[in-house]
Amino acid sequence: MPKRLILLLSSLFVLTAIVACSSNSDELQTEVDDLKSQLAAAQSGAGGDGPTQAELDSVKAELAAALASGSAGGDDATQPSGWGSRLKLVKERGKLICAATNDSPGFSFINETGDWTGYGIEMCKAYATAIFGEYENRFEMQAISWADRPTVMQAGKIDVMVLANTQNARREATWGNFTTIHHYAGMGIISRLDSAVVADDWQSLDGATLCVSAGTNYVPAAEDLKGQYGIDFEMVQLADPGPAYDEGRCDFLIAGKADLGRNKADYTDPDAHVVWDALMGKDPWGMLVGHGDDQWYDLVRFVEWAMINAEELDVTMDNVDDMVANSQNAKIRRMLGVEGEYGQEVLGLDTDFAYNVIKHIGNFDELVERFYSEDDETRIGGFYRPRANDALWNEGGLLFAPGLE
Amino acid sequence: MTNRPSYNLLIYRGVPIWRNVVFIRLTMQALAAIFVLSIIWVLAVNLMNNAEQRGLNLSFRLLSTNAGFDVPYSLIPFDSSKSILYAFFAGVANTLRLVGIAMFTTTILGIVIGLARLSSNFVISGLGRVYVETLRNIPLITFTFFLVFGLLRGLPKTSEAWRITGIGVVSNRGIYLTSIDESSSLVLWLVIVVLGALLAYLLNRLVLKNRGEIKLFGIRLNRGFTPLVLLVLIAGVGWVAQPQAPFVFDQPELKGTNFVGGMKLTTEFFAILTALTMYIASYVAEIVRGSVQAVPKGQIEAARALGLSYWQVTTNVVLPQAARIAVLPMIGQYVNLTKGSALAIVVGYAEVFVVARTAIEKTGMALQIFVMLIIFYMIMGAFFSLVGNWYNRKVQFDGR
Amino acid sequence: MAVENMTEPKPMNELRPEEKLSIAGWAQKNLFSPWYNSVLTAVGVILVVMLLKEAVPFLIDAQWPAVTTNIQILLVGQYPSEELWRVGAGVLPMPFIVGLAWGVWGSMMRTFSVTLVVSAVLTAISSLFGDSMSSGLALWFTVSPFLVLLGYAVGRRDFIGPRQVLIIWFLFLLLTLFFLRGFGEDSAMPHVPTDRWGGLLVTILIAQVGIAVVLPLGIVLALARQSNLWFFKGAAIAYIEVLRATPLLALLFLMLIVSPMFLPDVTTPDRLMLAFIAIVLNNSAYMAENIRGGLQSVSRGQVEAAQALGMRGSHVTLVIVLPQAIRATIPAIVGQFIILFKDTAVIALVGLMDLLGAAYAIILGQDAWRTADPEVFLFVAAVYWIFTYGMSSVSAGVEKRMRTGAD
Repeated sequence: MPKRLILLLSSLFVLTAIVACSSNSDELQTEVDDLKSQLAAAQSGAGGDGPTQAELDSVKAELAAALASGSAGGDDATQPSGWGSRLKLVKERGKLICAATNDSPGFSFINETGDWTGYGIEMCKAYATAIFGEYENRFEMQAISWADRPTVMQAGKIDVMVLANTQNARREATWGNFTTIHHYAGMGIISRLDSAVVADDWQSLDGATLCVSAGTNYVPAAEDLKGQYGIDFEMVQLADPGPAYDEGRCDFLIAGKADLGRNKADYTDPDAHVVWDALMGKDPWGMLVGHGDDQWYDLVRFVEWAMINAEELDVTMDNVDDMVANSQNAKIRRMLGVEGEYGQEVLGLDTDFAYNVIKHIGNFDELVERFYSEDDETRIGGFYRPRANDALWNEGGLLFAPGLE
Repeated sequence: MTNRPSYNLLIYRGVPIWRNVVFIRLTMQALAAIFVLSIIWVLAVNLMNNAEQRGLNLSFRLLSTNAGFDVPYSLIPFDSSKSILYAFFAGVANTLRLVGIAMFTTTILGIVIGLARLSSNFVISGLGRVYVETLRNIPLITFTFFLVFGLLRGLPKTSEAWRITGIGVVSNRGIYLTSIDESSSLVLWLVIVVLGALLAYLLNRLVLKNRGEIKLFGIRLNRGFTPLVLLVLIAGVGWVAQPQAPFVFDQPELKGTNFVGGMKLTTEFFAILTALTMYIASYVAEIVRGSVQAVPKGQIEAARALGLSYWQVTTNVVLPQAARIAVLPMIGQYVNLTKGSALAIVVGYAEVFVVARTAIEKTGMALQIFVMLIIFYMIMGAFFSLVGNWYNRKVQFDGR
Repeated sequence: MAVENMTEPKPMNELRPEEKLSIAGWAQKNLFSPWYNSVLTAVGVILVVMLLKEAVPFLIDAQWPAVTTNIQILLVGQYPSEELWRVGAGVLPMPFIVGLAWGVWGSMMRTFSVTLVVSAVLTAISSLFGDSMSSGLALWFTVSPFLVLLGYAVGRRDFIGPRQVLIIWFLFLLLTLFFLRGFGEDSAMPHVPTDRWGGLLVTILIAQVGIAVVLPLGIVLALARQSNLWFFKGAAIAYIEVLRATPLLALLFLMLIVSPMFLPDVTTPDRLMLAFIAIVLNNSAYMAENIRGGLQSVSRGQVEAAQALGMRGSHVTLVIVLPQAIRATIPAIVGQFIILFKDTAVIALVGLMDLLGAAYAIILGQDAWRTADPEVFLFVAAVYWIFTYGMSSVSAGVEKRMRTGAD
C-alpha cells in the first residue's frame, strides 16, 4: 500500500513539474538568452584558445533544443500580452466571452426561457459576428455582480464587459479601456413631494434619506454632494432601490436622469414625486476591455462605430442587402466592404464585417429601439428611454462616431 | 502512541532501503511536501505574471492609503479620509456589534421556543414545532432573502410608524428605540448598587453557611433568591430617593419624514439581526429541548421523591445539568452566527465582509483584503474554540 | 451558510407509553389543565389567527405568474430550450433511485419518498389549471411518482441491498452528468456548457455529487489528521482548521473572484466547478471532524487486539477502526449532507444561477416582476423545504434506528 502511494505521489509530482515548466516561458527565455550569450562568447573566442568546435556544436545543439521547446510552449499562447493576443485567444477558443450582470431590465437580463437578453447581449453578439461572421454558438455570457467588475477585469478571463459601466478617470486607469460611449446619462434626482426635500434645492437634502443602487458610482457621487453643499443625509444602498423609494423608505432617489421619468410612471402615485431639473453630474456609459491590447480595443470600437455610422447613413437590417447591391454612396459601399479597405485587415477583421454586424444585429438605432422604444408592443423586456443626449450629433445629440477615412 | 520508529533505524541492516519503514515514511512525506509546494509555486508564478501584465500592486502597504468610501452606521467614528485598514477595523467592530447582540437575542428566543416545544400545552408546543421545522429546513440565505425582500418591505412609512409607547417606533427607515442617557445622579446610584451587591453577597454567604436555617419574620431565607430581593430593594430605594432619576429617556420624535432622537437601529442592521436571530434560534431551541430531555428521568423522580417541589426540581436539578450539556453545542451555534453574519451582504449592513467587498471594488486589492478577512475569521474561530476547551476542562475538573 | 451539526443532545425518554384519553379529556389535559395553560392556549390561538389573517389574503392575491411563467428558469436555469428533453430524461433515474432506497431502507426513507411523491403529484395536478407549464414538464411530474413506486417494488426484493443501491446511484449520477453535458457540436446531443445549467437542477446535482465526494475526502482527511506522519498531520490540521473558520461565502468569493488571478489567461475556469470545489472544501473539513470523532470513539482495546493478532497498521485502520467509526457517526454524516444541500444556496451570491440565483435574476432582471419578490422567494423557500424536510426525516430515522439498536 505505501509503495503504491509512493508511485502515485511521485508520478503526480513529475506531472506537476512538467506543467510548471511548460507554463513558465519566462524562465525558458532566460535559459535561451543564457545559451545565446554563451554561444556568442564561444564564437568570438573561437580563433584563439577558446572552446573547441565540438564544444561549440554542443552549445548550438542545446540552443536549438531550447528554442524548439520554447516555441512549442509559446504556441498555445500561454501569456497573451500586447497587440493581437486577445483576438488570437478568442479565435483559438472559437468563442467570445462577455461578462454582464443579469439584473438590468432592457440591458442584460434573463428571459422566461432562460436566454440572455438585452442591449448589452446584442452588443456581445455584434462583436462575435464581426469576428466570426455569425454569433450562433460563438459567444458566451458570464454572469457577474456589479461589485466584482474590477476583479473580473483584473483576472482577465473575459474578453468584453458589456455593462452599463460609468466611465471615469479612476476606472479608466485601474479597470481597463472604456470603448465608445453609448449612453450619455446625467445623474438625476427624483424626490417625494411629501418630504422636506424641495426640487432643485440642494440645501433641502440636509437630514433627508437617500435610496441608491449599491455598488455603483452613484454612491461616491452622492458622497461628494455632502462636502460640496455642506449637508448631511443618510444613504440606503440597495440592489434595486426603486420599489423601496416608492414605499417611502427614502425621501429622494438618485439614478440616470433618463430613467427617472419612467420610474415615476411606475410608482403607486406618480404625482407624489418630482424629477429635478438640476443634474448631479455626468454619467457616460461604455463597454470595457482589458488594458494592454490595442488591437482588441480598436476592434471593439470599430464594431460600435460601424453601427453608429450605419444609423447615420440609414443602413438598416432590412435594406443592407439592397445597399450592397445598389448603393452608389461611396461611404456606404466602403463601410460595408463592397469597395476599398479602411483598416479592417490590420485589426484582423473581414472587410465586410460591418455588413455582417448590420445584417444580424442592425444599426445603433434599431438596437436601441429593440429595448428602449416608446412602443410597448415591440419592446423586449426594457422600458421607454428617450434618445435625448444619445441622439446623433447631427440630430441634436452627442453621439458621434468618426468617419472611415 | 509510541509506535513511531526512531530515525536511528533509517539504516537497518538486513532490510533493503525501499522496504525500510522509516525510509518509506520519510520519502512519502517529502514527496507530498514537494507536491504541495510545487502547486503553490505554480500558482504564485501565474499570479506574478498576471500582476505584472495588468499592473496589479500586491503590496500590503496599500492598505494604509485613503479609503475614499464610507462605512455607514459605523460603531467607531469613521469617514472616507481614513485608511483602508481603518475601514476594515470599522467593519470588524460592526461585525462584533452584530454578533454580540445576535448572541444575546438568539439565546433568548431559542430558550423561549425550546421551552415552548417542551410545554405540555398542545397549541404552544405545536407552534414551537412548526417554527423549528420550518426554519431549520430552509437555507439561511433563502430565509434572509425572503425576510429582507418579502417581509421587511411591509414595514410602515414613517408617517404611519408603529409606536410602542415607552419602547420606540418601528418604521421602514429604521427601528428607533427610546435611548437611555445617564443623568448627574448616576454615579451616586451606581455606588449604592455596588454597596447593595456587596450586602447581598454577604447575606448569601451567611445563608449558605447556615444551610438555609436562617429565618426572618418566620420566612426561611433562600439561597440566591433572598439576596436578589435585597439588591433590587436597595437599588429601587436608591433610584426613588434621589431628586433626579439616574437615567433619562430620550424618545424618538418625528421631524419631517425622519425620526430624530432615541437609539437608531438601521433597517439593514435590524434585517440581518432578525434573520440571524430567527434562524439560529431554531437550532438553539433544539439544543435547549435536547438538553432538558437529556437529564435522566430517574434523577427527577428521585428529587421529587425527596420532597422537592416542581420549581425546586427545575431550578436545582434539571436546569444546571441541562445548561452544562448545552454549552458546547451553543458555542457551535455562536460560531455559526459569526460566519452567518457575512450574509449581511444581502442587506448591505456594513460588517467586515461587506466593507471588504467595497474596498475590493474601490481599490482592486482583492488578494490583500482576502488575506485579512481570513485571518479575522480564524481569530474568531480560535476564540470560540478556546472558550469551548476552557469550559470542557472546567467541567471535567468538577468531577463529572 | 454552513450550520454546524454539533452533537445535539439526544432525548432519553422518548418512548413513553401513550395514555388513551377522550377528546374532552385530551383537551383538558393538553390545553387547559393548570389555569396558566388556558392563557397560553389563548395566546397561541390568537397568534395563529393573526398569522393566517396576514398570510391567506397574500397567498390569494399574490402575483403567482411571476413563478409560473418563469418555471423553466427556476427548474433548469438557462439550459437551452430545444435540449430540455435531455434534462427530463437525464434526471428520470433519480425518482427511481429514491424508490429503490425506500424499498431497501424501509421506514427510514419513507417520509422522504412520500414527501417527494406528494410534491410531484401536486405539481402535476397544478399543471392542469394553468397553461404556462410545458407539456413535457407536466409529463415528467406525472411519470416520476410511478417511478418512485416502481423503485420501491424493486427495492423490496432480496437481490438488492444497500451496497447495490449506492453503486446504482453513483453510476446513474455519472450517466446523468454526461447526458446533461453532451458530446460534440454536431452530435445528437450537442455540448451544453455548465454555465447554462441552473435552477433546481444545479442545486440537486451539486448536492448529490458533493455528497459523493465529501465523504471519502472527509475520511482521508480524518485519517491524515490522526496519523503520526508529521507532514500529513500538519497539512490536514491546517486544511481543516482554516476551512472550518472561513465562512462558505468568503470561500466562494475567493474561488470565483480571486482564484482566476492564479491561473494563466488561456484557461477559462468553469465557474460552476469552482463553486462546487468551494462547497466541497468547506464541507469536507466538517466531515473530517465528524469522522475524527468517530475514530476517537473506537476503543484502544480493539486496536491493540488487532495488533496482537499480527495485523498491519494500515490494515487495522481500514478493516477494524474505520467501519466502526463510520457506523458511529452516521447521524453526523447525514446531518452534514443536509448542511451541504442547504449550502448550495449560497452560490447565488457569486452570480451563479442555482434555484435562488434564478429567483434573484427574475426579480431584478425582468421588469414585470420587480415587486413580486415575496412570491418568488416563497416558492424557492418551499422547494428547499420539501427536500430538506425529507432529508431531515431520514436523519431522524437513522438516529432512531441507532438508538433502538436495530441494525
